[in-house]
Formats: sequence, structure tokens, C-alpha cells
Amino acid sequence: MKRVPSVLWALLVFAALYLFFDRGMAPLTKALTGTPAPLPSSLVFMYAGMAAVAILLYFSVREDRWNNFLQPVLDFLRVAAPPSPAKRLSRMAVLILIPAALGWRTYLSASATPDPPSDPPGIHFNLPNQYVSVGNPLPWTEQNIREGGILYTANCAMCHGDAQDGEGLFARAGQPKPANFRDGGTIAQLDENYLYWRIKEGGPGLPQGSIEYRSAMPVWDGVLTDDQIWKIIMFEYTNAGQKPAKR
Amino acid sequence: MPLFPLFVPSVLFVLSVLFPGPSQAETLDLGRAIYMQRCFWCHGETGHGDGPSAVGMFPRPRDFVAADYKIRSTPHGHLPTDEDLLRVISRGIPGTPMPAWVKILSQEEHHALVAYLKSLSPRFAAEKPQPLPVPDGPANPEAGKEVYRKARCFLCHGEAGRGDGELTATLNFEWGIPHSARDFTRGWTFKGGHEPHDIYLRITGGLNGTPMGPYADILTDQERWDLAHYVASLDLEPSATTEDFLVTAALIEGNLPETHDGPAWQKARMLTVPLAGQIVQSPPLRWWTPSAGACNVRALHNGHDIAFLVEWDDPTGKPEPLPDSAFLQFPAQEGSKPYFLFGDSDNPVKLWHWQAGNTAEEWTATGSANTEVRPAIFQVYPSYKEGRWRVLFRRSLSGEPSFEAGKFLPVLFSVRDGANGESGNVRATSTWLYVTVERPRSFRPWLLALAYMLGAGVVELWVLAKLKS
Repeated sequence: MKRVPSVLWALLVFAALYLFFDRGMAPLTKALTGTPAPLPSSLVFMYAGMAAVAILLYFSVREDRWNNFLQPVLDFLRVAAPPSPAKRLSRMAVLILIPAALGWRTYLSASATPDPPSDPPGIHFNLPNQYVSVGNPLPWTEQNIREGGILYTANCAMCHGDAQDGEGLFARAGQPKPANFRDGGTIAQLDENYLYWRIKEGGPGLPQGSIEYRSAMPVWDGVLTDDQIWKIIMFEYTNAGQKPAKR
Repeated sequence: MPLFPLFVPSVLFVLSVLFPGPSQAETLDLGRAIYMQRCFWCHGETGHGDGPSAVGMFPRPRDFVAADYKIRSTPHGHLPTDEDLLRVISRGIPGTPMPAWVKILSQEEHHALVAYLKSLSPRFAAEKPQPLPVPDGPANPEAGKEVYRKARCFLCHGEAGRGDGELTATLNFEWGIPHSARDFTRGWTFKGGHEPHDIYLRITGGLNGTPMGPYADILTDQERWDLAHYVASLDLEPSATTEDFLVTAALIEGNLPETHDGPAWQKARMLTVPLAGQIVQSPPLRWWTPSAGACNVRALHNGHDIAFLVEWDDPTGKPEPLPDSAFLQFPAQEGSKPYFLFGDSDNPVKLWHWQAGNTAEEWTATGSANTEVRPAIFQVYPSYKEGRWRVLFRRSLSGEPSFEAGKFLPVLFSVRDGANGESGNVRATSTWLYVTVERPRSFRPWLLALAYMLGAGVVELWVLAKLKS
């Protein structure tokens, strides 16, 4: 059997990796966590670049490998003594296709509308100092959780959902969307005092230059008492099937 | 040989004796436990639809004791089938707070919950609800349109199906509670699904406990099947999402339109912007029941002026206790990011404010309580027809703020329905979106592409020359 030229191997491996970065991450993350998280195009570009460097390194690290790798390319480009018409044609085609493809991509990217500015992702800001040593003073009793549930349904469910899945009736209008407490990446990664900060200070309490100007999370300080907030937190964890990170 | 048919049932019988499934009592206990964790908050301890959070909710949570179920596949006044209940639990009720539990509860838990709900009304023990047959033959939406007229559906649902019929507007005041007929143009708000199959069942069996009665005896099966397809064909409005939040003003030649239809608007991409009640700032009050759930936005520019066309459904555009109104909001200062509710003390916003009765004003605000009103430097062209407001805002591209190609300006849309008691901060609003204006056509992309192609060609020639030598 004829050996597959190593340059073809390199191209195949690169194409597979590129496809995985570009298209594969969304279904993979969806299967693992339930929410698709495709890589942003800048990261796809970076990873693809790293893959290309790695592949070239692999082939160039040994002299014989490198020659094997380069030989078919050089043979293809070199004008053989009496060039066969088929070879001439395919060589011509490749030499024209490369600049044409580059031109086409350039045209597309230069005439595309740029993406609007994006904000930093919405959770996991640093907890302000004054909240670090705050703890939940209430016990996790059935009664407290039940009272938290009543407050949650009356005040929070319109956005965060009666199923704690971030799919409340108003959720569509949020930008960013309300947090989905069932998602392992939200409250399960955080502690009760972080939630206490977020509920108490709402969107306007987020750091300047983040999403404080567009977050629709209300400020509950002065509307709900501290005890009420702690009860809501205990209900959120319980009904979403999650635990605080340090509990 | 004749014994064989007995073999399978007897094996099953032996198995069921050896491994008994949950008993009736165990199933009910499981159902009750799930109910108390997930459903109690709205539907109440005893299932009367009077949970601690049901206050002020519209529509009210279902009363499982009265067992007047709306979403059924059975005739009017009948109970729903188990399948009906399973489906509502699993898919939720669109347009209401009732969540879809399919990903949260297991199949076993769904069934236990159904058993528990049925135990709340003695009717389930006495009645055996049977599903209505649904036609599967061809349907003619055109004939359905005629049925819509003949059965006078428009009296409540309106000529264009926007839920703005004469009776809707009248009853709204007489009953003193929100009373609305479905807006057929927004399929994503149909409580029982928006497939012709679902619509056929709603028409045939009606919605128990609402003014929507059964048409089983009034229209023939085929007429209802045609009508269901006609109603499904009215579902034209795309469901609003948050994935897409860019309004692009398309470039056209010549004057911008002063009307709401016309060929120019076909060139602008329509964005459906989801709206929610203003629930952040109180006073005056958190607004849980806004009338508009979305608005459609299109924009055009001609190099000098920009025009925004904002459209939203409102069943009552006629004389109202409070005027309907709408506004567009922009940051007042270039590059600033003001708080989305009327800005903040450091970051003022500009509002293009329109109010029915043709008031147009420009507001500068640094918070809900601090607004300065000036005469408008923009034009408005409003119209109300068949349950829909269409308001066109037009202004010069330059000014404060100025619109430039390649620049993304934050923009926010908000509307108020006077008949729904909306005014001031009691309103439906979006959060910040972005608006940009389309670049005039230029040779730049072509030139760039050419330059890259030439560069690649030169490199190729160099490599070839190198190989030859």
C-alpha cells in the first residue's frame, strides 16, 4: 500500500482540529453541561495557530521527517523535466486558488458588519471586601426554606423562573439573561455571601466598567430584610438542587 | 400451541408479583411531595390556585379542586386526559410563569404528579375523559379565513387577529380585570401550542372558564380544521430572542419614507425586541403585567437622516384613561454607558419621547426623577390600525447623539399602554441594544482583496524562482 504523504497527514490533522475548535465545542459543552459554549472566533484563531505550530514542530524536529514532509510539496511545485499536462494543470490550479481564496476571505471580512461591543461575562466578579466575612446567620430549616420560597416566587421568579432555571416570563428581555441556578456554573460555584451581595446590591452594585449599566437585577437592599434575603438564598440552593461551594 | 398466547401474560403476572411497582398510596405520596416542593407556591396547599404567590398573578394559577382545565383534548366542560396533564406539566404554559418541567422531573415524577392532581378533585374518579378526534386530512386556510368571518371570531380576536376585537376592548373596562383575546400573530404566546392540531382542539372544545366557548356544534369538523390552519397561518411574528441585539439602519437612496409601509422598509432587517415590565425601580411600583411583550424595530438612513420604525401590539388604541406612549433612549455623551433606566447622575441619557395625541418631546434624564423636557428635534409619524401601533421617528444623522457608520450606539426601546394603567416608570422596556448605520458602498473591500491576492502571487513567484535556481 502506498504511504499517505506526511503533508497530507498534517493537513488532515489540522483540519480536524480546526473543525473541532470551530464547530465541535458547542455540542460538546452542551452534552457535558447542558448549555452550549462555543469558542469565540478570536480563541478559535489562536488555538488553530497553536495547532499549526505544533504540527510543524512535530515534523521539523527530525531531519528525515522534515524531508518526508517537504518532498511532495517541492516535487509538486518544481517543473518536472517534461511536465505532463495533468500535472501542469493541477499545479496551475493550486497556484491560482491560493491567492483567490485569500482574496475572497479578505473581501468577506472587509465588507462584513463588525460585531457590536461585547461585555465581560456576567458572573464571578470579585466579592467586595465588606462581604467576605459575612455569613448566613439562619439555620437551613424547612420553615426558613419554605418562607424563602414564598419570597422567591413573589419577587424573583418572574426572571429567574419558577423552576430556578433562568427561564422566567421576563427572561427574554434580559441582556445578559438572568442566571440559571440549575446550571452547575452559577450558584454552585459561589457561596451564600456572594449571593447575599448580588441580591442586596443588584446590577448597580456591580463593579464599574462591567455590566452594571445594563443588568436588570434590582437592588433589594431596603426592600427585603437581611433575614428575607438569607431565606431566599437557602431556597434557591435547595430547589435548584445545588449546594454553596463551601458547604 | 393454544397455550402460547397465555404464556406472555402469565410471565408478566409472575414478574409483577415478584417485583411490585409503587402502590397507589406511594405514588400519591411522591406526587404530594413534588407538589409541595414545586407547585405549592402558586397553586396553594390545597390546590385551589391560591398559593402565597398567586396574588396579583394573571392568569390565575389553575384551581385543581374546581378542575376547570383550559388546555384539554376533550370536549368543553370535560376533564383533561392524563396525556393532557402530562403535556402541560412537561412543556409548561407559554406566555405564563408556568415552567416546563421536562428537564427537571423524571417520567415517574410526572406520572406521580398527575395522579396527585387528579386526587384533588372527586370528578376524576367519576368521569372518564375521552380525547376528541382530530382530522388529519387536507385543510384550506383560505376557506378557514371565511370561517373566521362567518363565526365572527374577529369580534374578540380582531380583523387581523391581534386580539383587538370590539368585545375585547369593551369587556376590558366592564370587568375591571385584564381580559384579553389571544393575539394570533404571536404563536409563541399560545398557551396550548400553536400547531394546527392544538388550535383545532382549542376551537372545538373551547377554554373552560373563559369567554372562549366550544365551536364543536357550531362549525363542522372540516370548517374547524380549515379555521385552525388559517389561525396558524397568522403566526407571523418571530419569537423575540436576546441573541440578536443589533439594529442596523439600512442605506437607501433619496428621501426617507414618511409612511409605515412602502418598498423602502423591505430593505431594513426587522428586529423583534423582547420587552419586560419595569421591575427595578420602585416607586412607583414594580410592573409585573405589561401589555406589550415585544416590539418590532426597523431602521433606514440616506446619508443625511435616520428613521426608526417601532411597531407593537396594543389591543386598545382608542380613547383611554391614560395616553399610550413610547420612547427611544440613547446615551447623551459619546462613549458613555448610562444606567438603562433613565441614566444616572454621571451619565445622562437622551429620550425621544412620543405620546398619543402627537406630543413629541426630547428628554434629557439623569435618573427617573430628573428629567428635563425640551421641544423635539425629531419628527414622529404615528398610526394605529388593527391592534397595532406603528410609530416612525426621524432625525438628522448628526446631532446629539450622532449616528456614524462603524460606530455602535446603545439604544433602548420602551412602550406604555394607557389602558393597562401604564405611565411614567410603569412601562414595558428592553435593556440596552445597539444601533449602527450601514456604511455607504465603497471600493475598500475590493481593493484590500486585490492587494492580498497580489501579495500572495508575488510570494508564489518568489518560491517558484527559488526552486528553479
